[in-house]
Amino acid sequence: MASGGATSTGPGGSKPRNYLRPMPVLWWLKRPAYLKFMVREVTSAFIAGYALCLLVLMCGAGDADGFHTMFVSLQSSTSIALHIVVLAFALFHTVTFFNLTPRAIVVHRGEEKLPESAIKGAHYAGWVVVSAVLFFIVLRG
Amino acid sequence: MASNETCTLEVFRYHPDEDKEPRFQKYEVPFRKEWVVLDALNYIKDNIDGSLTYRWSCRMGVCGSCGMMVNGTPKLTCAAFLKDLVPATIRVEPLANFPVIRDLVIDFGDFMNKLTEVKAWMVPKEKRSIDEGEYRQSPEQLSEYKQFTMCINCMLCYAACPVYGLEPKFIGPAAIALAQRYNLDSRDGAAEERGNVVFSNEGVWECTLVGECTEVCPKKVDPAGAIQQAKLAASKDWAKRVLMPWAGK
Repeated sequence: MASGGATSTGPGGSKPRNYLRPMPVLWWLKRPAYLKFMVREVTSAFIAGYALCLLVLMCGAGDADGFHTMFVSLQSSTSIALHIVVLAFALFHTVTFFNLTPRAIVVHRGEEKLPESAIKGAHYAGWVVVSAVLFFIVLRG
Repeated sequence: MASNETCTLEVFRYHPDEDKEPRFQKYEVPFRKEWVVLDALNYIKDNIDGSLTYRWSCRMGVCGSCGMMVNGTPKLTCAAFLKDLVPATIRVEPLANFPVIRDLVIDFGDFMNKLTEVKAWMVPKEKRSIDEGEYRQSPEQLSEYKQFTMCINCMLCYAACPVYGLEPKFIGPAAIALAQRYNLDSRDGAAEERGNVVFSNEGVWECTLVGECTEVCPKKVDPAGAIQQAKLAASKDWAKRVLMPWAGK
């Protein structure tokens, strides 16, 4: 933890000796909202890592043998557990991110703002549509 | 709460000529259900310790002078009721992330400089003489920025912002919200000048959207929203310039 301290007195003692308080290394544990923010940010790193792994796996599945190997490895209990964790992280990140969208997107209709629920609702609706399309493509394949 | 009639305040004390480090001093004050933390501080100053130093003025949530950390949360002490905080000891500290001049008084020079940097005032798009009449605006145009005019410069948002605590060069929530207030004003013409500061590395891109600035704002200004809206506007401008360079010509 960094230490705080008083700034030096200027020539003739004219400047006040202001006290600078240190920012604790564990500042993100000071308030629940800070912790939630950190979790939100960390989950994005896990999702990015997962996306990279999936990409590497898919690159190695160019032929029938490679695809079979990938398919078998994805069915292992370790893989299923990993996917459940990543799914939980993805859901947490998505929900917390969508809940913040009304901060950035403000739509005026005359003098009135579109309610936050409409902005959030549009994002959730988009999420459902994209997921449904992906499900359709995967199941059809 | 020590008894039914009193409550305890633990107050941050720092005297620049006498103390090397700050300390906390406990005071027992009468408990009145209609009292706010500022009333308790005034009681201490008037009856127990006249050396206690703090800022206040209007006592009605307008001037923005009496912002302090109350139990670790930035609050206007004129709006923090004792009845919501007892029976626990109430800890009162100066606003976080600012240097302390003495006791509960912070040095807000940095914030004032940032207001100047972002030109937090109206720069008319077109100069008019008095004879030409007022700058007119429709209610719809007013509604674009009205929310951001509610800022009272209380700096609670800076005290809640860990980004400002870690990187003091960050322009910060209130200054960016006020820049956005004038950028969205149909009568203003200095958005480009402000952009040099607001869209610099120390401007909106420093914000990681923790969102606590909005949570602690006593006037529901939503500075986090102002910053994200400014980011979105800058991104749209950039995309338009890159993808449709002919559009600006």
